[in-house]
Amino acid sequence: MNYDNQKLIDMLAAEYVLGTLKGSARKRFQRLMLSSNRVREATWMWEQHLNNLASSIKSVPPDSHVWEAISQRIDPQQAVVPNNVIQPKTSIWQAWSLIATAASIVLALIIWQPQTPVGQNTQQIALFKDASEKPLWFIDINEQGLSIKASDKLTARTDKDYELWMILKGQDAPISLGLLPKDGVKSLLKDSRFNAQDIALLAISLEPIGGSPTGSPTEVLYTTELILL
Amino acid sequence: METDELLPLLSATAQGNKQAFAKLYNATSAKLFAISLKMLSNRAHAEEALQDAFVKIWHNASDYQVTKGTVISWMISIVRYRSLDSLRYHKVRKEQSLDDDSAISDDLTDSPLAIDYEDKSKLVDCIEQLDEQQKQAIHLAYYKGLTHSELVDHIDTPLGTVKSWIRRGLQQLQRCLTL
Repeated sequence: MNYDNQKLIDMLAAEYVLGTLKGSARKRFQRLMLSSNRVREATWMWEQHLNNLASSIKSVPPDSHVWEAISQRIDPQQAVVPNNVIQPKTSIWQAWSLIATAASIVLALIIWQPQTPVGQNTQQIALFKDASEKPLWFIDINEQGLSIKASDKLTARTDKDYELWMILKGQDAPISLGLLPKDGVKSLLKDSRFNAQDIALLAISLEPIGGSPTGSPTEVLYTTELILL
Repeated sequence: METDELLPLLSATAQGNKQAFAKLYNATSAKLFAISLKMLSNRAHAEEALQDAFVKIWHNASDYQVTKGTVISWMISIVRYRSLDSLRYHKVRKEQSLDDDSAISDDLTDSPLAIDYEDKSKLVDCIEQLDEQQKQAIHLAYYKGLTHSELVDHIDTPLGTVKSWIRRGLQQLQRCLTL
């Protein structure tokens, strides 16, 4: 494709902003934005034009728990309360969240029959199961890193390795967290981008010995979500 | 909502001023939430997208330049791109979700084409000059995040025709806007 063609750049930028440019073409365009002023400027121009369409949408105030969550994420120590955000008497979302979290943990512990390795400093946990709900790996995440225990129900292939990945919200490219143990317990360091609030999914892939040769998962076997404690 | 009100708030946000960020949120969140809600037709997903977008705005406030457009346009783009990612991630782009107004407040149940424009910007005038099909395709893509193939299902027209409507509509828009 000839990216020197201004008309082509304009049309790609327009479809990028509109949202009809998708998949690999969208990613290619995003990469192009990093390296080309003309592409960036065309995109900003279309954003400025097309976003006028949004002016006709009638405003809908979000619930106050949205701001609470944002405030918590940008500064967990000290949340700022904007004056005119209405504070509900009780936060049903928070209540549901607590109930759901508690239920998830109880379920995880029930499923995980052997001694669970949940430590005192645990911040999040994750449990990978196979299609028949058989537990395979249990992950305990604390400040220092990830402690991963392979279940004795795991039948690992000797000619392959299993690699752990995180998929961040809004990003398609998984980030490797390291190779998983085939038995026993193994510790992994936390990637600098590891932030529980930003993680959409954890995934395990089947890889040649030594891990993914490409930097991307070869064959995704299992996915699970982090359980926040 | 005036740009000159938002620019000092965004500048202060870029300096790490959380009170300014809270004011920026108060000034814009209802509009941005409505955009995400209209696109996602799912309150929980729209709240998540809004949350992610504002965390990004907090971290990237210093990246904003006037050449990128108005502050509100820059913020709308962040919310829309996050909402598009969410749409594709959750795979909620089903035919019924377009008509499912249960998650949307009453004032959002109008179709994109029935919107009564308050902002008589040049874009609105130029959009009005498009063919009805071009206008419909561009509106559905912008407001609902529909891809080409989803537009094919929604307006029951071959893919090549839909692509052509969008491309020609955008070309015509560009000509009109640069006049």
